[in-house]
Amino acid sequence: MTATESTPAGDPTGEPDGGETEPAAATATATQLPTRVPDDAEPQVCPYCGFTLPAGDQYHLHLGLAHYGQLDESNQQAFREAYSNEAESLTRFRIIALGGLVGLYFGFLLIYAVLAA
Amino acid sequence: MTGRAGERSTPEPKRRWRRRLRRLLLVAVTTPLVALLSEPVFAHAAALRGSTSSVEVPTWLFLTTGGGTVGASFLLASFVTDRAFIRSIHDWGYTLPAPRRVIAVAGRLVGLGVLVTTVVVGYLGPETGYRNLAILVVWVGWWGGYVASTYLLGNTWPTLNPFRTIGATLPSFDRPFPERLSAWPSVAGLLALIWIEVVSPLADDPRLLATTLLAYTVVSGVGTVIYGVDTWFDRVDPIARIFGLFGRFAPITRTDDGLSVRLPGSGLTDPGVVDGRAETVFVVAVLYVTTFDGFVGTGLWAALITAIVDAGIPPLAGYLGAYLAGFGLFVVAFRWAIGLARRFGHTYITRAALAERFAPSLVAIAAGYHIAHNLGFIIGLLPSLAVVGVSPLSPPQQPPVVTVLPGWISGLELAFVLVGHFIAVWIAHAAAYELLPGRLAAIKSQYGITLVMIAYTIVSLWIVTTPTVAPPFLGGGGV
Repeated sequence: MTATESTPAGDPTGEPDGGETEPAAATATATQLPTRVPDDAEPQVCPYCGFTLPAGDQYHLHLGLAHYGQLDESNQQAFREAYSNEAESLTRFRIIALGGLVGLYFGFLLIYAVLAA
Repeated sequence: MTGRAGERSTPEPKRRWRRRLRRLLLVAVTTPLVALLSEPVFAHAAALRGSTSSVEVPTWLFLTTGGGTVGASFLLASFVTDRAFIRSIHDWGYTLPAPRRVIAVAGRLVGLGVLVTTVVVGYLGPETGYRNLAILVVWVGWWGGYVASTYLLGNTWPTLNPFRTIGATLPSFDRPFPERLSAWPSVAGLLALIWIEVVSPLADDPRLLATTLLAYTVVSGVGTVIYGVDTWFDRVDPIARIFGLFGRFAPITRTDDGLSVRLPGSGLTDPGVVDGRAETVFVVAVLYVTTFDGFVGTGLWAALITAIVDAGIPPLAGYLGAYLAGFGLFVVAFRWAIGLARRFGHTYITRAALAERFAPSLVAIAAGYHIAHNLGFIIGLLPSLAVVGVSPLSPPQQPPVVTVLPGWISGLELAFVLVGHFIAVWIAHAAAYELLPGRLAAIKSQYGITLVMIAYTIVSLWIVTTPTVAPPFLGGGGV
């Protein structure tokens, strides 16, 4: 097993909060961290800051959050799609989380009620 | 935090096998723990340190309720997915004018005065621990009360630190500190200090305490002569490092513009709080040593160490082995949680870099646990500290103590354990949102750390509420 390691900190283009980016860049994700890519993975390197991400949604989300103003039309479209795809699975997750909370609450309530009886 | 190089050269089947073995080990370790903790006894949740009221709830239910609350706080936090909102919470704050130089000089003199008084009274005062001001100042005033002030208010230790004041007067060679040592000397120093505190009668014997303080002064004096006062106290001294971390949690901090006020814990979400593998392990060590300090006072530990000694192992070796094994367990559990964060977070960010950003959340837990562990003890002995402080060389035979604490104090202690965990869950949540572009990936990356926190809540609640027994084979050591 070999793996490639990189530290994008030395990259001169590595400043995510350039003046021409969208305000969204101020709340984007960290891009100055060292990465390590497993052998069997298909990484995608951000052309703006050199950050390595898994290809697909994570890559498009990073592009949109950190460099939205610099993207061309197709990449902006891909970001919007990835974002709305994520919103769907997020809604699913929230329903499960709500179910978990309700389950925890009533589960404990029942146990306490049984023990108090 | 190690073994990445080994991981790289291991073939796939072997790795899978190792993962299975790790899982098996995890089950083997946790199953007896849960079984032991869930004995069908009744938890005296409110019966800490002699108070008489008790909650008629089975221990297992009481403990799982605590764990469930922490799990629920993770689920609640997962509903907050707006990055701008998460960051705006931590940006809240305002600035106050900084104290003048005069106050800093006065602070240094106070720190120095307390150290000198403590050492002198330690040698000349009465030999009984609870009548000697040195014991009361160090364990009640400093380790109990003052440490709490570093996370509840702000870190004043760089000013008060008498060892630093003494070191600053000494000449220095200003030798460069070896970079490869990183924060490892602090980790070793912290483990050694708490080890000495647990196995020696440092909490009862004023002469020994005074000698230890002198030895500490000499060691930090030699350190400052070699490396310079700033290098020594910023990079090596474990106590200064703990207070630095607790100060990050505190609502008040010193900035270039003056004193800045912020929400408790929000300083821990800044990048760079923890830098490098050694500092990550140091944070885990802070949490571990406070836990071990409480754990040696439980009946479970007494049974465990008795069994170890019965097997023919010398008591001190048994204590040391269990101490280091527990530390290893904490490090492995944290590393496992970070591995899960990497897998579920769909990220290539290295484990070490992820650990640096998730580790600060443990500081909030350590702070919550510290106050829960010490609050009753401080309130109980505060009258002693005041009375003995008035006449340190001829104190009364029986200094006053608060023997019966009101029931709500223990409730407050439990609340502090839980509040520490809630803040920790939030800090981990904020860290995940700073690191990962996917909102769902950011939530899922917290699975491991949340599970570890739930397990730790259960263990720490159990330690805080279980009746205290003197650790065997030590002749009265430990607090």
